[in-house]
Amino acid sequence: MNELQLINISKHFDQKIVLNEINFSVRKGELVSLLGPSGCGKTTLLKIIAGLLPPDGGQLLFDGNSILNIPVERRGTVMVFQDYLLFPHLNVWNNIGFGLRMAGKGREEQAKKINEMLELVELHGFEKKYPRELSGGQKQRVALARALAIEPKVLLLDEPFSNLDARLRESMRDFVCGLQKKLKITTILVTHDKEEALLSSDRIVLLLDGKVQQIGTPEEIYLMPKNREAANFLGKKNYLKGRIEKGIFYYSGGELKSEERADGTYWMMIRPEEIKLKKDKGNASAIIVDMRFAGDRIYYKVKLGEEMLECLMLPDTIFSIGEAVNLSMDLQNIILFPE
Amino acid sequence: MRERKWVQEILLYSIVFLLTLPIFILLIWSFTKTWPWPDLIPKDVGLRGWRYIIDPHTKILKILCFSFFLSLAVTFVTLLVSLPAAKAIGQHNFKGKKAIQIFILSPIIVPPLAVAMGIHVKFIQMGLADTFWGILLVHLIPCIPYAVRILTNVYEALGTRMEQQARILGANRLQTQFHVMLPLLAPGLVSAGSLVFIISFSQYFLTYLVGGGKIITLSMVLFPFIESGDRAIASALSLIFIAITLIFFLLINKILRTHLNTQDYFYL
Repeated sequence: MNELQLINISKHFDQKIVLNEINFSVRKGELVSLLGPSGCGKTTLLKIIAGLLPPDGGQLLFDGNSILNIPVERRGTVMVFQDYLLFPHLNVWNNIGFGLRMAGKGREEQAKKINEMLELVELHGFEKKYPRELSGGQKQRVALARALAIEPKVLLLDEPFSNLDARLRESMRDFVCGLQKKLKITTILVTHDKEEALLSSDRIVLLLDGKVQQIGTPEEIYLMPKNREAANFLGKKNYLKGRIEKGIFYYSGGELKSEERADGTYWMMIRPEEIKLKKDKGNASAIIVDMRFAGDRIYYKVKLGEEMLECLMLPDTIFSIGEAVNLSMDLQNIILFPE
Repeated sequence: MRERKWVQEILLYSIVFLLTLPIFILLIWSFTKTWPWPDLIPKDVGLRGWRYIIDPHTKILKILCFSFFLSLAVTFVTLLVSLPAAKAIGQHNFKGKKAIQIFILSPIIVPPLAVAMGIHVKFIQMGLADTFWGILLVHLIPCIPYAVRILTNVYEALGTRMEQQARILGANRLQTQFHVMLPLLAPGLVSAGSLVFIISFSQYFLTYLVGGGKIITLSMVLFPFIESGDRAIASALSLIFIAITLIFFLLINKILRTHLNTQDYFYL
């Protein structure tokens, strides 16, 4: 059941088109990530959904009804910004209770809800503290509590983990996703970090150049990207040029059956983790040009003939630069992109 | 390094001394009728100056209270009017913005005196001359530019993000201004308010002209005494003048600063 629907949403600033006919919907209780590079209009889209900016075209439906004419404060969508924007002149208790206070709820009702929220974000004991006394993670939890206190219909998160250090990022991500699942709250999360999107979302909307490139589950987006731009955004990829003639794809490494494809020039996309390196047994065809050790994995740059390939391996064997190796390729999930 | 600090301290104390020296001189003058050179301390000492002020016949205390409340009212109205103007200029871009900015700031460039005559005539026609409201309106002219200037800077520094966050959480426009913006503007209001109070309290000619002698403020009582050379009373009145502005400044500062912490205000 579609709760939030975006239909042909467009937005431009001066002459520049920032959002070009954006179409997607979010189901109730779903967490959808808007994934895209910085400055591609994701935050703008979020602001349009929240009501801070009007779209230049298109429709925004909630439960089938247009919400474009409903002002910000009555939309039922809540946005949490990247820098949390806690009110500096109010303590934690009053920050969390702000929305309730503005809605005119009674003192007791406020207290009940605020305590509930404090419990949820595990910040009991922090009621009297002021934002300036809190750490980054604590501020984010207060910002979340403040947003959830008014029981919004849609939660909008703008790059919520960008301001946190790596370890905190992981724990906050688990925390927020756990919270979202528990409360079953419809959420849209904006991020430029593909790992974050892959790990948190039920579905991902890939936004490039102001257009929706692809919508799908993390698996679909990663394993079956629609085009090269989408594929490249989700990580470094290798491309081997070749030709299809009469249902067979010929490339530098051999040939492949591809009956359903038309004849022509194609690029075969193979992922770094699908290329395996093996020790030289006397007939090595490739040579290691670069090696980067990343703890739980190793990144290699390998020269095979004229091609330079990226390769990702587990650290069970470590090859050194200049070493000759043999390549084997896992062709299960390769994709042929037409030129 | 130590030597540098010592020099700095000497410099600091000299400046403070030079600034407060006039007050001491005024203090001494208020207790005497004549103080001829080369005497360092006058021989002729008396309470004549101060007694004049307390004497109910001269109505000085009444005038003092009136001046204080007039300037307080001017401060209040100026801030009330300047806030929306500063918000518009500080947060929005619109056609003719530059022109409006120059227009609002014009009393700083063109002395209000130059237009005071014309205003006086108009006020007479409207029946505003010689009235409290007429004076209040006239005082707004030199005060508004400064208040708008200060508050515009504060609005520019604050940006629109806090307001957006408040509205997202369900606050309507009025609630946002009152519960979120006003507390955040507080330091700016302190600055603007103090400045405006002093400007209004010090006004002489505008009050004299438009008040027509019917509305009397402290400055209007003070100046004739300075002219006539009665140093004792003039000094006493001057000290009271300084005291009042100082009290106002400290009061407003204390009230607002006890609730604030400079760390919260990233624009401070």
